[in-house]
Amino acid sequence: MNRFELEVKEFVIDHLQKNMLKLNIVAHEIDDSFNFIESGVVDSMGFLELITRVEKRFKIEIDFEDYDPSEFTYLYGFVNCISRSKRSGCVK
Amino acid sequence: MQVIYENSYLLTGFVKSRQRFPEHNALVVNGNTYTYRTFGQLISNIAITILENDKLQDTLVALLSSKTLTSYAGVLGILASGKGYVPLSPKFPVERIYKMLLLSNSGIIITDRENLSLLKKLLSMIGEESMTIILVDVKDTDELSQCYSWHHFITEEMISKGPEIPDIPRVSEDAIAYLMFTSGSTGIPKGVPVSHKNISYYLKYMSNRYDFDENDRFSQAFELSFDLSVHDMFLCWLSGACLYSVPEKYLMTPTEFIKYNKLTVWFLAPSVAMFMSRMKMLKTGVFPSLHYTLFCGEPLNTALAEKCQDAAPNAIVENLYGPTETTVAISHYRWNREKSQSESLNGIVPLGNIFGSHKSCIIDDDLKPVEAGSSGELCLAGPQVTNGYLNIPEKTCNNFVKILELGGDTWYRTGDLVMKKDNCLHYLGRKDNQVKILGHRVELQEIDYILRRASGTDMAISVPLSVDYGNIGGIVAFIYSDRSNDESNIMSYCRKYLPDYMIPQKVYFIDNMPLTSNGKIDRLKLIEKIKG
Repeated sequence: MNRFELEVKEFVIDHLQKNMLKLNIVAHEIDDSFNFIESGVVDSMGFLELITRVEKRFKIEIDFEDYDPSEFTYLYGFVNCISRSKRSGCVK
Repeated sequence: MQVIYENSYLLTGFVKSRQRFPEHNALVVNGNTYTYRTFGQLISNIAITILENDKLQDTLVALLSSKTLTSYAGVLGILASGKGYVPLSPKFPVERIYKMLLLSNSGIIITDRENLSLLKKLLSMIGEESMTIILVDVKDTDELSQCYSWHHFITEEMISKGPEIPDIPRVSEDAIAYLMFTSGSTGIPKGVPVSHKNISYYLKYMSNRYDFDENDRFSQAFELSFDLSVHDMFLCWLSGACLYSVPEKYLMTPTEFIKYNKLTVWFLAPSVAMFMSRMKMLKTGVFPSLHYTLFCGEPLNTALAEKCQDAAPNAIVENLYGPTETTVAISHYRWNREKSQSESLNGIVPLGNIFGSHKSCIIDDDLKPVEAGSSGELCLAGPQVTNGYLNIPEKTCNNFVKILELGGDTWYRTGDLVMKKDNCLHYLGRKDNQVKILGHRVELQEIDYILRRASGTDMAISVPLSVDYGNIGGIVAFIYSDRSNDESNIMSYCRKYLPDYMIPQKVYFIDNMPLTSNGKIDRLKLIEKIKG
C-alpha cells in the first residue's frame, strides 16, 4: 500500500472502530481481507455513511459502477477503489 | 356454503411451462442451472414424499430454507402436494422462527444441508411433539436421529420418486396457498393466510398486464418469507421464463448480476435503487436488457424513478403498491417521462390505480368515507383481500371492517394515508407507528416491546431514521437509563429476538424522556434530538 492508501485504511478503521468494539472485534487484529458487511460491522446504510465520510475527508467521488461487491466490501478492496478513483481524477 | 374445488393455478402455470419447454432453464441458483424437466422431477419427488408422510393431514408445511434449490423446489413441491407453504427465513432469530412454526401448526418441515445447525436449535425448542423433517439434500441423519429420536427424519435417499411431471392437485379456492407473517405490535408476528383465490387473481391480472414470455429472465431478490417473492416465482414460471436467484452479495448492488445475466425483469424495493444511485451504479443506459423495472414495498421518489428509467431505457418502469393482507400488490402506476413529474405529489410517485375487480375507498377516523379530494385512510375490497389474521380475531375485527355507507363488502384498512386526484391515488404517509425498512413492514411497537424487556424499563422506544423521501434507513433506540454501558447487552438481546432490519443501529441512554401532552413518549421530539 502506498502512503495515500495507508491513510485511507487508517481512516476507515478509525471510523468503524466503535461498531467493531460492539462486536468484540479488535481493530489492530483485522487484516486487509476483513469484510465490513459480512462481519456485521456495517449494514448497507452504514456503508453509505462510510462512503460519504471518505469522500468528504479525501475530497473525491467514488464511482463503484465497474466494481463487483466482492471487491469493495472488504478492507483492501475498498481502499483500492478509493485509490483508483483518486488516480482517475474523480476529485470533488 | 358450497366448497369450490379447482386445479391449483399456482401449479398449473408451472406444469404447462414444463410441458411446453422441458429443456428451457427454469431456475439459476448458486451458480447452478436447472431445466423445467430436472426441476419438475424434484418438485414431484418432494410432493410425493410429503403425501406419504402426512400422518396428521396437515394443511400447511413449513419451509426452513432460503434461496437454494431446496427452497424453490420446496415451495412448488408443497403446493403440488395440495398443501400451503410457510416460508421460515433462516435469517430470522430462532425464537422468531419457533413462534412462526407454532402458529402455523405445521407438523412437517422441509429443509436442507445449509440449515442443519439452525434445525438442531429449533428442534431443541420444539420439545417432544413428533414432527416429520424432510432433508432434501442430506444423506446422513444419524446424529439427529440419536438426539431427537421422536422425530421422523427423511434423508435424500428416502425421498420417493414421483412422476416426471408433477400432478396438479385440486384445491378449495379458500385453502391457504401460503402463510406469511408481518410484524406484530405485541412481539408476536401476525400470520396472514393467503388463499388460492387471492393469489390466483393477482397472477392472472399481472400476467395479462405484462407481456412476459419464455425468453424472459426474472430477478429473484426478495426473501421467500416476503410476499413479493411470490410475484417473482410464479409470474416467471407461468410464462415459461427463467428465475435468477440474486446471491446475497449482490442484494444491495445487483448491477453486475443484471448485466452479466442479461435480466429482462427486475423487481426491487426502492431502497436498493437508492443505494445503487448513491454508489453511482445507475448510469444512463447501463441496463439495456431490462424490459421491466418494477418497484414495490416502499414510497418511490420521482428522481429515483427517472434515474431508473434512464438506466434502463428499454424498460417499462412501474410502481406497485399493496399490503400482504391484500396479496402482493393491488395498484400500479406506470412511469411516464413527460407526465409523471407533474402527476406526482411531494416528489413521491403515485400509487396509481387499483387493479380491476377491486374497490378502494378513503375513510376518516370514524370509518366514514371522506369527501372527494380529501385525504384519509385507504381501504380496499375485492378478491385479493384476505380473510384476516391467523387466530387473532380481535386484530382481524379491527383491520377488516364493514363500512355502512358502502354496502356489504369487507374492507381492509391499510393504515396508509392517501388522497385521490384525477382518479389516481397518492401516498401521503402512515397513520400509525408502522414504518417500512428495506421493504419490510415494521411495527415500531414490536421493537419497543423487545427494548423494554431488554432494558427492564418501561421508558424505551424506537425511532425511525429517515433517509430521504419517506424512506427509512434504520432504527435507533432511546432508553431512559443512566447505565450507558448496557448497550452491548441490549443489542445482543435484540439480535436474539428481532430480524436484522429491526435491530437498532444505535442505543441512546437519556435521563430526560420527552413526553406528549397525553403522557406518551414523544417520538417526534426524539427524532429532532438525533437531527440536532
